[in-house]
Amino acid sequence: MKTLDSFRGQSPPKRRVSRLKKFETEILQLYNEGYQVEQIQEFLAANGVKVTIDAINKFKRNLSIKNSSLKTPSSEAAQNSKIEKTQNVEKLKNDPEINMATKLFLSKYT
Amino acid sequence: MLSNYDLIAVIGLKGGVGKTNTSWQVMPAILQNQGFDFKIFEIDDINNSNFYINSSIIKPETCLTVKTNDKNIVSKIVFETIAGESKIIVDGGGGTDSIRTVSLVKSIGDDVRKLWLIPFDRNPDNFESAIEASELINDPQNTIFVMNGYSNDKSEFDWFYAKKIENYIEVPFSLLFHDSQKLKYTVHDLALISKTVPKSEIKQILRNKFTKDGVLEQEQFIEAFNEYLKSEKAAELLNEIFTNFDNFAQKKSQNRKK
Repeated sequence: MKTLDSFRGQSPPKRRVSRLKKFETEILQLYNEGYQVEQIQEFLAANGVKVTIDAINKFKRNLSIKNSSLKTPSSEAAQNSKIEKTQNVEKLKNDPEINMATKLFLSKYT
Repeated sequence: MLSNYDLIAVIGLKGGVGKTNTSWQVMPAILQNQGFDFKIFEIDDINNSNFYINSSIIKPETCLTVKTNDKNIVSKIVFETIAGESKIIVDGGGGTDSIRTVSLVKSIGDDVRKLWLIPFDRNPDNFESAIEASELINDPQNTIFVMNGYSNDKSEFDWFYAKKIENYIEVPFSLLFHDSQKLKYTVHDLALISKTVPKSEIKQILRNKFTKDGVLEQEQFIEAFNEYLKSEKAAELLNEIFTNFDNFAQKKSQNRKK
């Protein structure tokens, strides 16, 4: 059986792999931390990879950003806020100290 | 101003002029806003107005409906004012019940400081009975008329303003009193909804409730959201009432100093 290394030595890859692939982790990390695509472009340039903004955006899309953990910071915050609000309402509904008018309103609409 | 009084008697010789509204919705909200505890005594042979079972400010243990022939009314009220720290609101019932209430309250000694409130509405004929009630009470220094149900321009009360009477407080017309009562609470309780749950959260709740298969059912959403907006309007209504009352109290205090 051929090992990966021996196979690689004999037959070079024919499919083109994005130069960004090497920086996948860093790109994900920077984006998750709220860095803009332009800033990521600067980071890549500093590492010798000159790419356009479109190329970075395309790379992100290919990573299935929408359904991965790589949500845009704003949409993630909005999602968290939705969850938080729902939890707050549940807490309010079950709070024995809450006024009856609010309790009745929440019971009707949740 | 209310700190000068132990007992607030709401008297109306005619029905439907806002006596129950004054006793159970307006005065409780004002007292609550000023940080006073209160108890309500309703002296009525026929009605029991304590239908505010969902209210957080009118609690069953702080309300009592008694008949005019209850021999212990006076001692109960006196006991409450001496032993307790609550203000007492006396809802005088209608017609003859109010006449009886006036004499009962007057029979309570002067140690209990009394404020008399006489509601009237936009019907000038009803104001004649308010005047009759004030004559019956005969304590002008401690009597205030309650003008019930003014609209934006207040023109329906031009006849009253022409009389140049000074001792009166104003309560705006609002269907929210009725709406709240239908839900067995007061307008103060209605206002609590928007104070307890912020608008942004309500929008989210309603979106969750009325989104089916990814589509928001607009009509239902708007109907429910309007219900929430009523709560905000109730808070505005109360603010207007509190401001009216504060302005009156300020004027009264300035007149006293003069």
